[in-house]
Amino acid sequence: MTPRKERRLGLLFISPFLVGFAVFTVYPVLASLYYSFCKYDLLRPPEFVGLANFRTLLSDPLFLQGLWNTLVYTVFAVPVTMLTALLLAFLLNLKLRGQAVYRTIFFLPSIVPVVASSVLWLWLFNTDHGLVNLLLQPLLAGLNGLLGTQLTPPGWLTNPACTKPALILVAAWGVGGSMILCLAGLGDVPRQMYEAAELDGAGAWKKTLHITLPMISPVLFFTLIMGLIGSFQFFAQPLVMWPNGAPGDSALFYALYLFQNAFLYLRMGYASAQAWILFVVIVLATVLVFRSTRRFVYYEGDNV
Amino acid sequence: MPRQSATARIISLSLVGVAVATVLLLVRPPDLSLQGRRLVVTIWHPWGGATLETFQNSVNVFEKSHPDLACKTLYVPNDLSASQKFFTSVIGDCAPDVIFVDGPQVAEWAHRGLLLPLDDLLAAEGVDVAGLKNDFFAPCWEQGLYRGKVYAITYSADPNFCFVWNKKMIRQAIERGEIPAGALDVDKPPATLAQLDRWNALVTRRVKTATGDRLERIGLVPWGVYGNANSIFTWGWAFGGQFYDPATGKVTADDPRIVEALEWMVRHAREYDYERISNLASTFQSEARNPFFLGQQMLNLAHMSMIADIDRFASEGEGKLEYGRDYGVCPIPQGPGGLNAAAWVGGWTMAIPATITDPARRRAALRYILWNCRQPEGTTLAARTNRCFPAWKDAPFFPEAAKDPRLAQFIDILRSSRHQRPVMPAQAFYMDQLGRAVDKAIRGELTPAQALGRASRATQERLDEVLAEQGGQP
Repeated sequence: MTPRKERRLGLLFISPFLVGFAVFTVYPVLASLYYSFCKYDLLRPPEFVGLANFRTLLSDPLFLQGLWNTLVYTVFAVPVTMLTALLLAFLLNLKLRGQAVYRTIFFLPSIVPVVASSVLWLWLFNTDHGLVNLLLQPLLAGLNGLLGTQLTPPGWLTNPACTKPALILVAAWGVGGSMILCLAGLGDVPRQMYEAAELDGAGAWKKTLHITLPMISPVLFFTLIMGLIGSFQFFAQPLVMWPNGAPGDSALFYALYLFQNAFLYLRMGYASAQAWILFVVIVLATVLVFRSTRRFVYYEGDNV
Repeated sequence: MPRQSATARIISLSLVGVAVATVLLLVRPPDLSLQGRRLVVTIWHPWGGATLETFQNSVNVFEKSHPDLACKTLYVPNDLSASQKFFTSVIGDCAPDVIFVDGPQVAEWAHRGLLLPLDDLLAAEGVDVAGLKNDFFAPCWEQGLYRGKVYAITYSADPNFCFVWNKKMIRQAIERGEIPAGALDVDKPPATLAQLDRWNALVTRRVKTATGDRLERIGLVPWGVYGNANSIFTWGWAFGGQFYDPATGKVTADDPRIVEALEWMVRHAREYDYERISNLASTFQSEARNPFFLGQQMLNLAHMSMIADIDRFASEGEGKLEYGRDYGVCPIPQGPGGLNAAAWVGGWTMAIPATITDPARRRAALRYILWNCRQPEGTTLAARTNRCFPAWKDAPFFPEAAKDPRLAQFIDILRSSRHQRPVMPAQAFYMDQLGRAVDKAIRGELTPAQALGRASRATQERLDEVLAEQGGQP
């Protein structure tokens, strides 16, 4: 078979994907870029309005609130989940009896459907009867006794200051996916390196700092980037946990407000503008992270 | 792997072919039209669960009495934010013949050209539109109109609300000494908001915890009446307010009487602590664990579906509630707006999408709608389907329902109702804004006047924007 014929056949075989990709991804993405400069309600042809949508967005308090909520969530949720995943991976990498069972147990939360886990957390976070506050009660009572303070258990679902921490806690509970990646990374670190370091007198801390972390840095970098993108698009959990909106719009995340504009208020052009702003924010954040962390990431192969 | 012989290959390919053909034959939808002898009416409805069964039954009855028509039904969710399927069906010219539209959606959908004005169609069918208007309860008829034209006919009337109080639990609390004996007469419900405030104070119970206290039991939560937005509608009207002026197109959420209503709600939030109430309310469940049955919430406003819930879930054993002895149903306590000022009507309507152009299909759709909304058999079955009343005044369901003294109270509300949620094409946005205003006010972030002023301005802006867009066919 000539290379040309081979190429043609190859293209023929992947054509279902190419067609699907063009129709269901490339076209909608480009169309949304055009719609972001239009007034468009889905039902009538879009009407070009220039930068009006973007100008309106900048003075829309809910847009700014959504952006703020998403930024706060990202800044806290990404490091917290990464650290949790890494710590769990370290623990589950210990050669213990029943290691596989523990790994399975800690991985399980990440395969629970998001609606089911959100409903479960609604119960756990209940202020008066939830398990979280039940555990906190004696701790707070002890502190109050010691320090003479008047601390009360947080209203995770009802106090605007607590809703985001609650969601971050839920995120930390579902780190199974990143944890497995870290475990795989840990498994790949060559034993000889540790042995060599031990000969040189390195302790556990030095080995972790100078061997383990650099060797798994590509995995950590990957989870950081994916976590960042996922957090900016955070959507399902707040929708399920506060179907009528959280107190003080404290859980009105960017993607949620975008969805409301598009499908509840039929402002598709406005929502498209929001989507493109989000896209630019994610690209900027990713580039920033790439630039700032490149020197901390070590690749063994030299063609990277 | 050994090479298959040509015969084996042909046999296996034929077997696959036969299997595919069998599956295709099996999954082929039944021919509802009976080879063209019946016209098929496609209906998209929002009914699921047990309601679906009674709805399907009504469809079967309709088909029996209309041998020239067949109905193809499809469940399509519609909760004010999930109507994309319908929108795209209209754009793609494959809309159903009949669509269920929630009352507050009619104006917006009509404005956007999604619905067919029914006036000419009704006239062609020999129905006198002016007469039809008088056949329906006024707010039910009004919610189907937009700019003077009929776009939808109300299928179910949903009178809001009655006051309910759990006599059994109150009596038990008195026996335990939690409510002072003689402080209230369980057989004489509060008749005014001032009396309601007193009852609320008496039935509310706080208990100590390791770190302070929590509420164990509450009375009526003013913002807990089917969400923040529906709550402010209810109390806003109870105080005599108006949310929208259709003559001028002005949004009036900042009407001083509505502000006063929100101030009353805010006072309640301060008195009992908004957070503590929310904490207790977040434990509330439904069906057999309804907080009203369990005594967690001894006073409440009830939708008429609660009557059926009580009969179903609180009808036996220790949790049994007997009407009259254990609980009461009466009109809601009178606000400054006067008796029954608060009563309002919601409910589902039925409409024909604008893209249905075939006269025969339009006529068939209208026959189905009128059978459901204004004929004895249809209205009775419809009322049983969704546990609401027909909107047709002379429906035979009313004498049947009035035998139940609890439902009779709801019939009174329906008859005296003057309000429906504002008929204007930014209704969903308005409800969201009102919900936000209530949230911000009861948490003390904004004063009631500020919060409602903000909601009013934002909605007016949105409404003007929508109105400026050219209405008409998509």
